[in-house]
Amino acid sequence: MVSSVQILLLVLSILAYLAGGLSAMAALVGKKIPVISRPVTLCVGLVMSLTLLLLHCASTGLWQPLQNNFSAMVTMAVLLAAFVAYIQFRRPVPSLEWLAMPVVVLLLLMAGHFGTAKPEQYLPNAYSVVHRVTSYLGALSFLISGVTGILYLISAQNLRGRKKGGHAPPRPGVFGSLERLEHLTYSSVTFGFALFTLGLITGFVWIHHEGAGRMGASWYLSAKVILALAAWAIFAVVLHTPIAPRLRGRKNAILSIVGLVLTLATMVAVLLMPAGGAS
Amino acid sequence: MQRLVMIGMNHSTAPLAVREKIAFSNTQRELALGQFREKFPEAEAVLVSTCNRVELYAARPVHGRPRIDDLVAFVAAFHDLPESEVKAHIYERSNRAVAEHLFTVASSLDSLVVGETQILGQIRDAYEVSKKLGMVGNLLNPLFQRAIAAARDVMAATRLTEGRRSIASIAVEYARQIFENFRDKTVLSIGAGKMSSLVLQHFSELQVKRLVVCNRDQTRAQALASRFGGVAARMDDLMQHLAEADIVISSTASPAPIITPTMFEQVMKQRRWRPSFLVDIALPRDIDEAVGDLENVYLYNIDDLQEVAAATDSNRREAVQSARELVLKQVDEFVTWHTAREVGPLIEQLFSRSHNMARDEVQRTLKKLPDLSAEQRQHVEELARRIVNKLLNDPVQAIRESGTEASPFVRALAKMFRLRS
Repeated sequence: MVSSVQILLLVLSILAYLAGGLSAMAALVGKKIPVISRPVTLCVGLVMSLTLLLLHCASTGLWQPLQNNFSAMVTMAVLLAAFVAYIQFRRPVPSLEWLAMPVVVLLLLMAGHFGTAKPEQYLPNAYSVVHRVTSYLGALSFLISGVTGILYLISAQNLRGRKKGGHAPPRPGVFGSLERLEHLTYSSVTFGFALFTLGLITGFVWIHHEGAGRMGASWYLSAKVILALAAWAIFAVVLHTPIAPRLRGRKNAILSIVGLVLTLATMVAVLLMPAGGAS
Repeated sequence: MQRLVMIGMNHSTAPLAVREKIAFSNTQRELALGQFREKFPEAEAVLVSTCNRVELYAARPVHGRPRIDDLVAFVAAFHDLPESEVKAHIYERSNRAVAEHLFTVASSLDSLVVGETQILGQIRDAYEVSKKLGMVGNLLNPLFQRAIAAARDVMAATRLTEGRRSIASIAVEYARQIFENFRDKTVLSIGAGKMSSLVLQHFSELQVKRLVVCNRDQTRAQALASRFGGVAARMDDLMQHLAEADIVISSTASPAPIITPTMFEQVMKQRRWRPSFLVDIALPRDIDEAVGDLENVYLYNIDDLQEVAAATDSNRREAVQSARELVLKQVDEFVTWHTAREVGPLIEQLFSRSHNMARDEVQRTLKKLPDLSAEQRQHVEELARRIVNKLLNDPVQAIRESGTEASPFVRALAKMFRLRS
């Protein structure tokens, strides 16, 4: 299912994203790695992983990005890296790569592991396609909001830590302004929440339509469903910040981070499900 | 002969919380100097009080007062504080070390932000106040004049003032880390003094939506607001303006905090917990430290901003080094000049007395040698004169080189040779 050329491209993509992440981390602690330019590593990583996706689609003959667990994870990684590239080329948040690249690498590692050890072809019916597209895009948005939430928390801690004398003076432009990070978090949660809700609804309709046979009678007690609902509930709270202003700022960022962990856990649960239950 | 003494505390020896208790407002300074004169009528005094330091310089007769302990007791009593609290944070200097310290301070080499020029103006102000009150005389007058002139020379001759970051620009950098867009933000200045004006200038460049100046004196508020296209407001409406302001710059002369945690919690509720950036550049502080613990409040005081500004000093080590060398040279020149002025008349007396004695002895001897020719008599007189000069040369040189430590030598000399000191 996954050829050795695809594995090679996967490894090269991981290395490129890893180099970008390390370079961003070095810049964050005040060191420069002149050999590794972050825009270059990001572009190289994107080209590699996109080529990998195209090659995989060509090898299966199905030109769908979410046709199996391997392509689903690679698609998520490509979209997340593309989002980072968009932000960095528009109005950079230098430290974004430091946090986003490990998530991209994690998604690619999950693709490599589950795509080869436990390959699973997703069903091509209408409910399944809508469910997968909305759920994965929703999850991707939640991952982004979690990453920006972490950046918000670190930046806010640095800014508040100044008066306690515990932190070095923050450097302007390293994290991006709190206002922008909050905006990014809230926008991605709004977008992700709508898609994820649609993903959950189509998922339930699909189970109802197909019968509970594929996931068992107590499908609602499966890790995938419980974790997905928990993540959805967390982001529902984040989404309601305008009517609960006390949640603004750090509390919201912490909730987004919890949501990020739950989203990642949901994805792992999906990948670990018995064949047929994941899609 | 006079002695120089001083005590002081600054940003490195005392935290802001202590400095704000010891600080003297302009009115308090004049009052304190008046009390000082009553207590030590023979002494001279200059009192320097800035947001970073409080220093009391005094000159007294050799055996007179005040001594260091008297200065500590005086400052503690003025502020109604226990002496131990003052003593725990002070540094003390005497004689040459006082001159060296003052020259270093005036040149901003002792400032948290090396190269800042404000301190020179503050030293000059302190000197002018003492001069107006007749509190500077033979020693502090030339000392402060020389220190001010030396600081100007140091700043002109070195690159000390180049490349430094101002407190205002650092405040703007912090604001940029909190806010992305300033076109929808309101800036509120509480107070309309010089510092507020400096900081507002930087914030007005961000093209904020609204700028409000809140001050007790409406004329000053109006003047400052119109400079930056803002509006003046009354202090009675402070709560309302705080709720509307995203950025607050506070610099009043209030002796107690004007913004408390309880009060600001109400403000934050009205703001629906939108982030609030507070810059407190007043001393004593205008904003209670606990306000900074409220969620979404980012509070910075003068020390926070100065510490960041000080971080740029490492880039100017070379300039600092040459400035220090120049300061030491200027101190040496002052001390030499001062010693010469102090011991000059005494040395003159010593030479005159010794030469008179030698001349008398030569005359007595020449009377016993009537056969000597005029040329031979002249040789003998010259011999006596040279012996006196050679004998006195080393001790006189030692006194001249002893600088402000010359007093014991001078006293001994006066006593041994029966001179009038």
